[in-house]
Amino acid sequence: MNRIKGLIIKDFLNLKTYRVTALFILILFATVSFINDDILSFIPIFIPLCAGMIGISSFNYDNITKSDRYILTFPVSRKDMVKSRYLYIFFITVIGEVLAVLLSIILQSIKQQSLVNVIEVLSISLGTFCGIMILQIFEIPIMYKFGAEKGRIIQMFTIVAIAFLISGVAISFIKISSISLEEFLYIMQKYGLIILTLVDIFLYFLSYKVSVKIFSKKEV
Amino acid sequence: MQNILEVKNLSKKYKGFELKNVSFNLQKGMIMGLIGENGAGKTTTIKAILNIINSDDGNIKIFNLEMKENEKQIKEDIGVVLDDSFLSDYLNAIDINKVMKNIYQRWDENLYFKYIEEFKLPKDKIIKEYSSGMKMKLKITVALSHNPKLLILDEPTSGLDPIARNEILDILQEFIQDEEKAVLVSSHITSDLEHIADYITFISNGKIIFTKTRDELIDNYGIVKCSKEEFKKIKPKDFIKYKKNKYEYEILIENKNEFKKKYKIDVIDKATIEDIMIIYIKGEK
Amino acid sequence: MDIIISNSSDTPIYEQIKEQIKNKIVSNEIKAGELLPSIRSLAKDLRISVITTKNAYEALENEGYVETIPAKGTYVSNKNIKLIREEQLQKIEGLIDTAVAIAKISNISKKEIQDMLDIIYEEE
Repeated sequence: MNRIKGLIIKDFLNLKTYRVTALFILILFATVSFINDDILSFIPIFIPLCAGMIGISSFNYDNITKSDRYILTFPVSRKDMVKSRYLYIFFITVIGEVLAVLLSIILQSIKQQSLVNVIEVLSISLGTFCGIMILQIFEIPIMYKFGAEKGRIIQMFTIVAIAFLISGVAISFIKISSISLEEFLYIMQKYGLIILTLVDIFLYFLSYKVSVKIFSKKEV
Repeated sequence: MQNILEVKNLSKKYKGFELKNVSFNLQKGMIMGLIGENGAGKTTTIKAILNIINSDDGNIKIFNLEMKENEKQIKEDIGVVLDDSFLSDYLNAIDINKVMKNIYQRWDENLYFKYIEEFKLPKDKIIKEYSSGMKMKLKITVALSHNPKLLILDEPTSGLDPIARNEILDILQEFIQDEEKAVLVSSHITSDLEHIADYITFISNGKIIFTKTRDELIDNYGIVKCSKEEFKKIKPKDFIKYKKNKYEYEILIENKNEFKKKYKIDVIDKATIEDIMIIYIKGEK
Repeated sequence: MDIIISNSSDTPIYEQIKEQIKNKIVSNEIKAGELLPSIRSLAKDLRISVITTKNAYEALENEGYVETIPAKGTYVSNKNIKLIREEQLQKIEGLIDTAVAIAKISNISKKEIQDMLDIIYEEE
């Protein structure tokens, strides 16, 4: 476990060079959303999205120094490496999420000077979080399979493909189960987040297993 | 004397390259130089020893333990320097300590910073801003700071100036002062190894040509330079390989003194490891 | 203690070391019972391989100049200093023999040779 901790620390320390840029982006987001009076459709979505992207960028850092090969000279297994990567990306997305929630609440309370709708902030955030996780479920194995360079391009196509896939699944679900669109939207509104969260957790674990399999065969 | 590293029949097939039945042993207290042309299989051998790549066949024993079954335990006692790969370019020496103390059970923080001071490495500069000599010294520092018993270095002197190379050779000799440790170092800069290596293992085109002590090679091997007529008189069993140059024949022989007794040829030079390598690769029999 | 090694020389490095240490023992620069540097530290300081140094020490041991005590080190041996001195004396006698022979042929007196010896000896 210590070794996994060490690898996660490495990924976080790599971000030191990002500090100024990250702060700048944060302030920019805050200001723009504040002026546009559109805090909730901006902050809780874009900040975690950026955090997730930063998490994935750890593959690029590794690629620059070919650190996979070096790390494998340590008493560290390939499985440890994949595990640490998943945990790191998860942690940094959560940090982005928490930051987004806090910032939304603070900005809202300054703006409205009235009661802040915490439930709304949280449900939007959780929704985004689940969305980002779905992206990562595909992104991470792709990065392992194709490497950081090619992975980035393939990743773009995947995002589009996932969008189609999800809507496709939803539409065929409606067709097969003979529920009307209205009924479906109602169900989604009521239970959507819970279903999404459960499916996410399951798929995230599956994605990890797939990545371990891919990485264990990879020549580094 | 006890073997620290035993490599037996290591084989790995790639498209266009094959590592074939690589075998050698490294004893305690010794420095072994792994030499060969670029693409000869030095790095592949090292990667296979460390189980970074899956070999198709063969067996690795380190500290008398099977590598495949005791990988983590063995790797706690190995320090590795790879030519083109490191932890990250964006960390500084202090950050690296924070990472590494979680990686090795016996990571010695004090020793690490002692080396950092000794090599005059800046603590707060990120590695990207280091010179190549500094970078290599940092890599070696990291490899030494958990008190390994076996040091494996892939091309530690390539791209360095003579002064930095010299310092690195010093570090390696210092390392084997207590007789329990050993060094395996690959290099295509053979003059570095000519002095300090106890054993030279020569690999070419994926195959081991020989493992010999430095003295056997340097004191006994020779290069005969002669004319075509003189060359014709030499029996094939008395030389290893020859190379036909524009004005002379260069012939690699295994024992200068015995050769002198048999043939009357004036020019017999000492063979450097580089000479031996070149005639083995380029020469004919 | 100076040991000077030539890489371009035809004499193997182990032999160069052996000869130089031998000369130092004979000239009493290194005294009987004195500890020689360890194989590894000598190798490091001369920047040569451990096996080369080991070969040199082994050759010295075979010729009786040094003794190795396991786990302690290599010492200049005691018992042989007399023998070595005798060897040297014999060598000198031989050389003087030749000198005297030449002197007799050329009619050079004993006195002249003695004077020559005094001068050469003082010069050293």
